[in-house]
Amino acid sequence: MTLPMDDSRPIFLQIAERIENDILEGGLPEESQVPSTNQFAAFYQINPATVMKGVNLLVDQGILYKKRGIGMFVATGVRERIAEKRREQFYDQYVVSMMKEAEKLGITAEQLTEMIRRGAKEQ
Amino acid sequence: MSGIVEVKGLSKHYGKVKAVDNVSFKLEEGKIYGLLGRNGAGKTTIMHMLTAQLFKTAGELKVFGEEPYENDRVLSRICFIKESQKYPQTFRIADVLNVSPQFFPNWDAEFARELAKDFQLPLKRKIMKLSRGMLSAVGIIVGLASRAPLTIFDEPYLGLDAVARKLFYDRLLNDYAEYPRTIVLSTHLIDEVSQLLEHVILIDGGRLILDEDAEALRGRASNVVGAASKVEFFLAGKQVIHREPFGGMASATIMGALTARDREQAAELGLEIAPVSLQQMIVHLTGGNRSGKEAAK
Amino acid sequence: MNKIAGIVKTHLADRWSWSILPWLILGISFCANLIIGGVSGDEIKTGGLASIYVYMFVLGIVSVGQTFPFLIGFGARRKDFFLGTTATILAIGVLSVILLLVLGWIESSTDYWGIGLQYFNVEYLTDGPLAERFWILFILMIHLFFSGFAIACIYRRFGRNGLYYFFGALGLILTCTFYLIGMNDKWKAVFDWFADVSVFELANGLFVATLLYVAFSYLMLRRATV
Repeated sequence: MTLPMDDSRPIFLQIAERIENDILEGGLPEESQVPSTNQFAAFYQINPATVMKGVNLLVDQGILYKKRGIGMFVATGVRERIAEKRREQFYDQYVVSMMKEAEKLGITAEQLTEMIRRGAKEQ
Repeated sequence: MSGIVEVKGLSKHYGKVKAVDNVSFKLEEGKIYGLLGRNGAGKTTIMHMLTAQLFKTAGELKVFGEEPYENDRVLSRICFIKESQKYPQTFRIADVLNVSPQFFPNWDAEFARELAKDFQLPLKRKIMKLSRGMLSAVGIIVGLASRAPLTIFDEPYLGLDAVARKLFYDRLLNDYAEYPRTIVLSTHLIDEVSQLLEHVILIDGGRLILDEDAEALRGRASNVVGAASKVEFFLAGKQVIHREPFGGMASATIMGALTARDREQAAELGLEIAPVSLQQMIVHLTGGNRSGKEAAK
Repeated sequence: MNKIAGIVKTHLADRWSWSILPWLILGISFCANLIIGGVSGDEIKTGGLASIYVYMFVLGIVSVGQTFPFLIGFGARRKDFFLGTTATILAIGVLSVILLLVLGWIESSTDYWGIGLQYFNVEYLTDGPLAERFWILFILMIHLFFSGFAIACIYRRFGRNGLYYFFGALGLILTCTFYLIGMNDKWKAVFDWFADVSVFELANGLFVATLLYVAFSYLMLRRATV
C-alpha cells in the first residue's frame, strides 16, 4: 500500500520527489522506463494532470526524458546528480536545524562532533 | 477560450433568500473539478440550474456553448448523478441500466455490467429496497458508464464503505484516462477527493469563494503557533483566516505564501509554522468565521 | 425519437401498474358480479366497467409523480416526457379498448355469460356501430387519463399550494355555475339537454376537453422543476 500524499504541499512536487527516491534507491535504474502518467495516477489515486506536472518538472531538470511513442525514461548519470542535490538538502534540512537546536541547548561544536562520532560507532 | 460551462452572475433567489448569489466561473474541457462547500452552500442548486432542472433568477448560463433548457444537444451530453435521484417505485437496478442507453448516447453496457459486478450489486433487486451505499453505487455506475462529456457527481459516496470508495476512485481515474471528459465532483467531504481534483471551486453561502488550480492552492495556507503576543505581531499585514487562542498561546491560520524572511522572523519569534491541508484550509474559509470569508476574497 | 422511446420504455417497465393491475381490478369486479348474478339468478346490468376507468384516472396522476423526477433527472427534455407519456397513454388506451370490445363481443356471444350479466356491454355506451363504440370507450378512457395527468402536472408546477388553489377555484366556479342555473330556473333545460344529446356527441365534447387538458398539461410541465 502506498503512503497517502501530503495534502498540504503541492502533490506534483511530492510525485517528483518519490520518483527521485526510486531512482536513488535503485528501484528505477538509469535508462529504464518510468510508469506512465495514468499508471501513477491510478496507483496513488491522484489526478493525472498533477502527475504530468511532476513528471514534466523532472524532464525540465533533465532527470527524465521522453522517447516518442514509448514513454518516459530515466536519464543517464542522474543518480549521482540526485544524490548530490539531496546531500545539499541534507545540510539545510538536518545540519542547520541541528546547529540551531544545539545552540539553544548550549552544545558546542566540539561536543556536537563527539556526539556524531558516538552515533557513527553505535550504528 | 470558451469553456464547456460558462456561468456569469448566476443567481437563484427564493424570495429574500439568496441560495446562489452572483456566481461566475468557467469549466474547461477534460478536467476533474471539485465543486466544494458545506451542506446547503448552494452547490446542488447550481448543478440543478446547469441541467435546467431548476430555473435561474438572474445571470447567464451556457453549457457546451448553448442554453441547456429543453436543449437535447446539451442535455444528452450531460450525466448528472444527484444525491437525491428518484427512481420509479417498481424499478429494479437492471431496469435503470436498461433504460440508461436511451438517455446517454455514449453508454457502455459492457462497462456497466463489469462495474455492477465490481460493486457486487444485485441486479434484480428493487431500487426501493437498496441500502444507501448500494444506491450510491448505482449512481456511480450510471455516471461512469454514461461516458457523458460532462459528468457531474453530487455527493456520490454517501453510504459507501472505504473499499467501495477506493473502487470508485480507481474506476474513475482509469476510465477518465482512457476516455477523457469533464468531471465535476461535488461534495462536502474533501479529504479523500482532494487528490483527484485538478481544479477547485468553493461555494459558501451561495457565493463563490475560491476558483483555483488545486495544486496552486496546496501549501497556500500555514498554521502559526506560539505565544499569543508574538503570534499577533507576526500576523500583522497577513490574511488571517482562523484564530484559536488557548491559554497564553495562540494558533492562527494564514492564507498566502510565506517568504524566507517570514520564516526567519517566525523562527526568531519562536513560532512554529506547520502546513495546512486543503481540507483544513477550506474548513476555515467556510467556517462561518467572518475573517475567514473576508480573507478569501 | 430515441428519447421518446426511452420515456415509453420507462413507463411500461412498470408492467404491474400499466398492464396487470387494471385488468386485475376489472377481473375481480367482474368475478364479483358473476358470482352474485349466478347465485341470485337475476339478470344484472352493472356499471362495474367503471372500475377500470377510475383506475386509469388514478394512473394518470400517479404515473407523472413516479417518472417525471426520474426522467428529468436523467436529462430528458420536458417536451420528450410529455410526448412519451402521451404516446404511452394513447397506446394503452387503444389496446385496452380493443380488449374491452373483444370481451364485450364474447359477452354477447355467450348470451351474456349464460346468466344475463351485462358487464362489458353498457346501455347507451355500447349500442351503436363498432367505430362509434370504440370512439366512445376510447375517449372516455383517455379523458380520465389526461384529467389525472393534468392534475399531476399542476402539482409538478405549483406544488401542493397549486392544487389547493386549483380545486378551490374549480369549486368556486362550479358553485357559481350551479347558483346561476338555479337562479334562472334553468335546471330543467340543463337536464333536457343532457337527455337529448347522444353519447357520441358527448364523447366528441369530451374529446375537445381532453385536448384542452393536454395543452394545459404541457404548459404546466414546461416550467416544472425537479
